[in-house]
Amino acid sequence: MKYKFRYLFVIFAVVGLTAIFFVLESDASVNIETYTDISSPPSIYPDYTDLVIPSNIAPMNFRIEQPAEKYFVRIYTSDKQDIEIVSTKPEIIIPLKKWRKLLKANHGKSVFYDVYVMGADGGWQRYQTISNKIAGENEEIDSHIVYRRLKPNYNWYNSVGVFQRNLENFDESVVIHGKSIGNSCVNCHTFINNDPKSMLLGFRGKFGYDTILVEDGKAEKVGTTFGHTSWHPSGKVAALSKYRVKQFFHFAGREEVRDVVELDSCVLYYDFRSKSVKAIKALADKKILETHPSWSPDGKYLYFLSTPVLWEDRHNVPPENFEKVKYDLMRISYDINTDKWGESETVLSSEKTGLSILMPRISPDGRFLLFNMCEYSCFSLFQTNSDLYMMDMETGEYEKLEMASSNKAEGWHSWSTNGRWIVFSSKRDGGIFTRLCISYVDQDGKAHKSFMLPQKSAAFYDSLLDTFNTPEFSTGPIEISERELGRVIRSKSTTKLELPITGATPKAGAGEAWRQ
Amino acid sequence: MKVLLKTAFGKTGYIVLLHSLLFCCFFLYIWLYGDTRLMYHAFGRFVDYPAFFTGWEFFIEAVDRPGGIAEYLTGFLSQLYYYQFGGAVVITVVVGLTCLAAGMLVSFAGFNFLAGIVGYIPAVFFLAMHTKCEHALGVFVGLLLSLWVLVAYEKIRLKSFALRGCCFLLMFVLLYLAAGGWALLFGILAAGFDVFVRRRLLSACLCILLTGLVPLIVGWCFDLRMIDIYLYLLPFDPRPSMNAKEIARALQISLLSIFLAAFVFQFLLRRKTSDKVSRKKSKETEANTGKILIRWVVQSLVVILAAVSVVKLTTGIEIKRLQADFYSGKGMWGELLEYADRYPVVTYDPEGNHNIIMALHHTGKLGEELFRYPQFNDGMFLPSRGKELRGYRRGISYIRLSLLLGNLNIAEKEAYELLENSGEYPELFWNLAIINITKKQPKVARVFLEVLSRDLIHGKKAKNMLRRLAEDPELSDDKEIIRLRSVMRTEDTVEVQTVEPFMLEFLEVNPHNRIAFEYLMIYYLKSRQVDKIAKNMYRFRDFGYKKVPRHFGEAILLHLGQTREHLDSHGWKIDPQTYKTGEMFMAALKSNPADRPASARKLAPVFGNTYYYYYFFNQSGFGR
Repeated sequence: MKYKFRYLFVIFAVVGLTAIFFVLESDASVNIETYTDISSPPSIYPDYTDLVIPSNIAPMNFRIEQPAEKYFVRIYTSDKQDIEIVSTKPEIIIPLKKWRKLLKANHGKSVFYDVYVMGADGGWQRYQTISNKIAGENEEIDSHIVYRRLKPNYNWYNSVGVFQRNLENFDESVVIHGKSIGNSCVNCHTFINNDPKSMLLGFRGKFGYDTILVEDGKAEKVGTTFGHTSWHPSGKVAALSKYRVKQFFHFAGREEVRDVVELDSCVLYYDFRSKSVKAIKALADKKILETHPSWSPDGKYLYFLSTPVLWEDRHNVPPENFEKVKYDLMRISYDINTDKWGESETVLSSEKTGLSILMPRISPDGRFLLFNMCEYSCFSLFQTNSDLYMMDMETGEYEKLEMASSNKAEGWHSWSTNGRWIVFSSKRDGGIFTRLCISYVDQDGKAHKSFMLPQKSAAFYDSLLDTFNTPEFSTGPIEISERELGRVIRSKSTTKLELPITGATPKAGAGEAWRQ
Repeated sequence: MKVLLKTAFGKTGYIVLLHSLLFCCFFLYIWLYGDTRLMYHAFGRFVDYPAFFTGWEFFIEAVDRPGGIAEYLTGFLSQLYYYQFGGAVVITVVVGLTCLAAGMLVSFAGFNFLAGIVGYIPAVFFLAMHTKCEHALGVFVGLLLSLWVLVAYEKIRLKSFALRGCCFLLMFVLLYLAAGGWALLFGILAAGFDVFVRRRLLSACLCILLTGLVPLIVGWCFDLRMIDIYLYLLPFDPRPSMNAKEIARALQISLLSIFLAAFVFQFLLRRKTSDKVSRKKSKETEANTGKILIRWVVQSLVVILAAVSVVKLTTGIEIKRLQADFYSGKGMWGELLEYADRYPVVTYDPEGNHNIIMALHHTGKLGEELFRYPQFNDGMFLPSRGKELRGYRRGISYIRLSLLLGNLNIAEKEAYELLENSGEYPELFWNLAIINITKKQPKVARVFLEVLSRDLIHGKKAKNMLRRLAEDPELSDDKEIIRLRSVMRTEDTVEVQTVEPFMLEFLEVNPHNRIAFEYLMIYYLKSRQVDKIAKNMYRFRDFGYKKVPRHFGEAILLHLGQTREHLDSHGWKIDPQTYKTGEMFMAALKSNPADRPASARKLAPVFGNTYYYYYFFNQSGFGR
């Protein structure tokens, strides 16, 4: 027995000392009485400086890009609340509870960061204070975003998944992963007004080229791919674009090797009442490509893109004049009660902008239209010069989001429910891997400096081979399990659909050859 | 001596020592002849890559599913294959422990007399698999875990049915989580022991029931498919992770060899030991020790005989192809050509042909000796088969060729395709880093190097590169980067080109791009455009040729023979021997013009390595 107690004592002593060591290491505060000032702000990664941040965002952990023996960071606001972090590593991990408390108590105020580093001689240096502004109380960001994670794929894919991330902490979970459904591709997901209870999610692969419709926790398989989809605010119809898109490659001379072209496309709509896909007569010209439908918040207009077909041969890839394809921004009126469409009209022409207009998304209050422009093409992220623009819907004037954009490609943007935040994919971190960025949009439609989605570790992005795209805000988590979605996808039960025959409709059963 | 040893080690120690001697031989064989570096090279190219990275993130991800621990262990141990000695140690330890467990179980079953021989079956089986270029470690880690859990279960010997059931359940669940489908082997063998050894029918039924049920329940918790629930990690898994046919064949050969050898020696031993026993009854102690030694000698001979026959029976073309590919992968071009001369079979497929083209290019012999080897249409570019991907072996060669040419975007595309579909191979990360550094995208290069820095073998190289990038993001003093930048095409193009304009573009970017020129020449030679060989004589000086390479000379002479035109030779003279060979060939060809197959057969020994022969008969690789 004596020996047993001795062993127990040793074990407890080791565990106790280890715990004490970690507690001291993590929460220790240092008393810096003397330091020298450095006349520049610290270089931190990700760049979390001069931002407007949501009060419910997860801790914005960062790394100090300066070799040192020790690091000390004090995060505080004007009302003296503060968080102190001491670390021997340059990674600064902010405690979640303290961070949340600090942000919640200081809506509309600034949060400051004092960064100190200790040199090899034991002397401390303090950088210029950096700061961010906490957004107002009614300007919280939606709690979740749903996005796709995949590697920079070319012709073949193997591992594509739709994930959801809680923005208030670091929890990420799989909504559906291609591996659970025979390495299928899972793609565009859409909600009604960011409400995760209703969702459309496309997939293609071993179990078909179909769409999953989720409503109030129940999933059903609908027998066609929806492509780019926009749900009418009433939830009664969803506009979708059918397309035949092909990937091709730049054999030399470009940062991004990949490129795509839509050889054929059209906008249709799915009527949930009659469970049928319907054509829009005004948009059925085979000589015109239409894509990227997006409803206005009042549901009275469908915005979409349009461009004439510039080639004769619809099978040649890339087709002639592919580099001249520039889409115009159009809209068409719609009456949900009578199911009647009006005539289409041009909102902004590529002739005027000199650029191809892509992915129109209107703010929830209907005041602003966020869109992409790039030199040519229907796919912004393969164009290095693709930038975000904002149009004032009242004046029709638009301007580039200089603060939110970078010198690399940006796209796949969406609005938060309250219209104060936008999330988008950006290749700012090198030009190949897309990362998710969030930007605050003020009352005047001005987008502020954007920031990369915070992660538990600042080193998260250092070795991350995945790209993030099609982010959509969601007001809560998607409740339906991956198992259930997988079961429905694998099942043979499908709501069969007859596609209306329009000039641009692909032949029934034709799968897209291009896989992103 | 034997008494001395027994005194020193005790009886058990003495036996262990004797068996250890046999494993020393096994180790020496693997170390000196079963070069594990070849198997490391085969990862991805010939067998699945057992991925492994250091760090918690990979560990957590790896062990977060049934079978994950065995895979993680396999991945870790497989990395040591990179070192000839380390690989041999790993194999010897894993196989040794498996044999020990097998021997103990045979002994538990009451077949002590068989334990010495049956215990070695795993070792012989491993040799069969290893010689067949199958990565057997994955099988053995699972087997090892399941056999040792069974040994533990049999050693515990609980008398209460309930306790035994609980113990089995606990062990089974843990083993299932660690080794996936291998737990089934444990369950079935435990049931077998209960029925045939311990005579506990109820216990056996419980084992079988739990073996069937537990995977279903655990599999449901992890949302596994039925095939994964029962077959994951087992060699019978129909998915092509391992060649089940080869495994079955290796097992058959192993069992057959060992039992045949045992039968032969048992017959001989009976006669000899019965004579000896009658003569030396008085010296019992020494006789016992002698028996142990004799038994060990006999067992050793049985095992060695079985092992030798297994190695002989399983040594095939695979290992030779792998050896040639290894030389190519390491850039040991001289050794590759030597090996190809010794074993021409390694050149009899497009991949082998490609390796030879590369070796000839790097040794400056392409224009001299190309047609000493058989030529395949796919040998130049190793295209994908049908609509499938190239696969890793072809793909990585294609990336190397593309980088050599300066075709960076295509190398990048291929690398991403392989990364997504073949696996996270260190070579891909390295190549993608190099491509991005060359394209002045150091941030992207860093991502790949950061991942690679967690590789057990190549991590140091990656870390070193990261340090260099921190100092100079463009790596402007790196010789390979300088070379790549000097040959890479920079003008944006999406046009899919045929070989000729494609290579000419590279030559336009850099007229000294030797691989582009030699590929252009091979293309002209293979497509019999001899006039274009003649027209390109002016470029010969750009590549430092001291004389007109033999095949180019042969093509030029054929061109002159056809057109009788004046040719501006730019000062180059064709070797008189090439003229002479040409005249002899034409004379021989004319002697029997009607029967071409007969002519081809007749001329092959003398002219089979000339371009003349290829030009007329579309064959090559004779008369080496």
